[in-house]
Amino acid sequence: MLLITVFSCILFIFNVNCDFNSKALERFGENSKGHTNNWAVLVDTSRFWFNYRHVANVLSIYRSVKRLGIPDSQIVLMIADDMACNPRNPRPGTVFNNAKQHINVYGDDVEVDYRGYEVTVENFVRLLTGRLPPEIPRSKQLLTDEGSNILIYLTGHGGDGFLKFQDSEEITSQEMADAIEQMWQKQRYNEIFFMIDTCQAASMYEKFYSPNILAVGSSLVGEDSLSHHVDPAIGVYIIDRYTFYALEFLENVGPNSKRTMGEFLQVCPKRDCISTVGVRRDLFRRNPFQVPITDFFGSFRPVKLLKNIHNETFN
Amino acid sequence: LATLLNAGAIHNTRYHSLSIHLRPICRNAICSLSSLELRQSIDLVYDYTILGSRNWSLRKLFGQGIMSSCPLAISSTIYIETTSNATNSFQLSPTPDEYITSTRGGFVNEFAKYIIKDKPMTIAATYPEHHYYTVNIPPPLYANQYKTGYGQQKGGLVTKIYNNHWTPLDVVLLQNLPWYIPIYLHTMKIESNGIPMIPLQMIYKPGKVREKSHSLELVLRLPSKSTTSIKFCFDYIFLKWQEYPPDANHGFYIGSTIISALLPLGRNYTGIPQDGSLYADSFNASRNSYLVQVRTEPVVITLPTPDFSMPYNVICLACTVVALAFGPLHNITTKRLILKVNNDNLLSKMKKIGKKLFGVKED
Repeated sequence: MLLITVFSCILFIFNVNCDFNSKALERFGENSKGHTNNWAVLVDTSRFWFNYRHVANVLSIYRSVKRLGIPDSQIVLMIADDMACNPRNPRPGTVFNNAKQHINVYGDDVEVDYRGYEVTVENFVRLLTGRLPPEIPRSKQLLTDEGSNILIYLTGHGGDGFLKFQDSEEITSQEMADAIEQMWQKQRYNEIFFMIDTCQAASMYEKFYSPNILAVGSSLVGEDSLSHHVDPAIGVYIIDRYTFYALEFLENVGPNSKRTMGEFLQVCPKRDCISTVGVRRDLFRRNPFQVPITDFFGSFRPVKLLKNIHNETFN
Repeated sequence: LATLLNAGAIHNTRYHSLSIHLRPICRNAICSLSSLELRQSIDLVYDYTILGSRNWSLRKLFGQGIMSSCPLAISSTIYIETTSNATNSFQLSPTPDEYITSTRGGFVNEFAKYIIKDKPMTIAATYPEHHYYTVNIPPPLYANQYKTGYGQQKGGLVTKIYNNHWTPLDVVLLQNLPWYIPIYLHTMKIESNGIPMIPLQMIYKPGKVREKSHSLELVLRLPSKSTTSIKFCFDYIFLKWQEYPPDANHGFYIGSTIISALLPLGRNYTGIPQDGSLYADSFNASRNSYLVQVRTEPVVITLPTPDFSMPYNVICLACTVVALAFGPLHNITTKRLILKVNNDNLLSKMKKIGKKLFGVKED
């Protein structure tokens, strides 16, 4: 008797699950506008001098993304502490990401949109969902529409289910998932590529339930992401492993590259990263091996030459 | 001007400051219409030892020359002061468009003028081989600010003003302190060369906690060739824990004290007169007095910070204590103690050990 009721309960639950899945499948095809523009939200959440590598991480990704074509007006860069002008910086005005190559990723033309104390969980969620007061300047707003592909890159210290902001507060994976669902409801994105380089990074994207998200994290739940190397001249670790190998991959990518997202997801195998790179692709309807890397990292600007002048008339 | 703001070059200076001034000005003589004037200025002090040599050029100072004149401006001009050319001569290249002599308050200054046109240009100055360093006369008025005191209960703030002029000088001192630095007016001591003095006038607006900042304005007559110090004490107070920034141990910044004075002499004075707007208005602009505003350094005050991990510690400790108190109490009240006969022979002992090893429950 008990067994029969349990069995029928299980059948009932399966039915309910199937209905949910078919609804989700229907939602996948809803966006008919297609991909028209690219945005990037790059966030460093750590403060203090010994977290130099997180700032170097995010600035290196900023440089790559800018080099591949996304303009500053479509990049929202959030850095929680000032490393370049930190009194402990032996090379003031510069931030390096490689002890050997001496590339100054700070440069002359970096545009930081949220700096210092402004990098908070509230500001980050407001930025994503668009709930900002009207007097906020345009450079601090995420003015995306339903054709935008957004690259979200987070780096800092994280744990199982949360990411620490500025040593004083955390954002949980559920809040992150809810913010992205709000973005979907408001049609603020076409596709999102979510990249996270922290300890136990995979826990941050496990709760996502909105469609069209491809997520990659530098380590699985229970693993720590490790930093790459120390620069003895500066005295701190200057880059993290996953970002280092991701940048190596991106260095060979140009604006017209034919490389695919699938190849990018395979960067940093376990022998290089020591932690296992986690990928979530069940919410992404395309095959990553058929998605060009410039869909997220570059800037989509289709230019069509017209041989003759068209006269448009509107009745 | 903004094209010259190369971050690497700007931070290579000994002193740099950016300022923006907004003020309403009259559009005609009777002042029936007024407009808003915005003045943006950058002050940079370069050090020869950092630059490498005494010869300078715009490219060396700013990282690049000037590309063109400002498209929105009526005029773009560069003035180089050449007053010291008589004693410390240097050659300017290219040759200036014009030389201007300005007499201000009895002091004669020479300027070289360059008009910026639409093509790129740079200016360079070369000094002869031998370096003659002249002795610098300190300015008639300068000031410092620093904090005093020890411990985490009370502290003090001192502003020192130096008057190098041979006549007494009237100055206005303005200090705004945030509400979390409650200063006590009765502890204020003003001393000049060790002799206490009374201010000519004082406006003190005490602040309200979390509402208004403290404001102190003093008019002092500084004796000639004197050092005047204004000291007062304040208490350190605790803020609510949400009001601390994420790096609370860094401290809080107190802004500079502003000391305004009307100098009687125009020596080494390059300020634009109050009725003028452009640098060219300062030529031959002799006036009765010359307004100068000196700003002191900002001070960092370390307020006593609470231990932010305490809420976590308290929760852990309280929960542990409750668990330790509740556990045994629950055990004692809900379990019954039954007496059991113990067969102490070897076979039953071996059986017990065997059961334990294989995880079988004892009844």
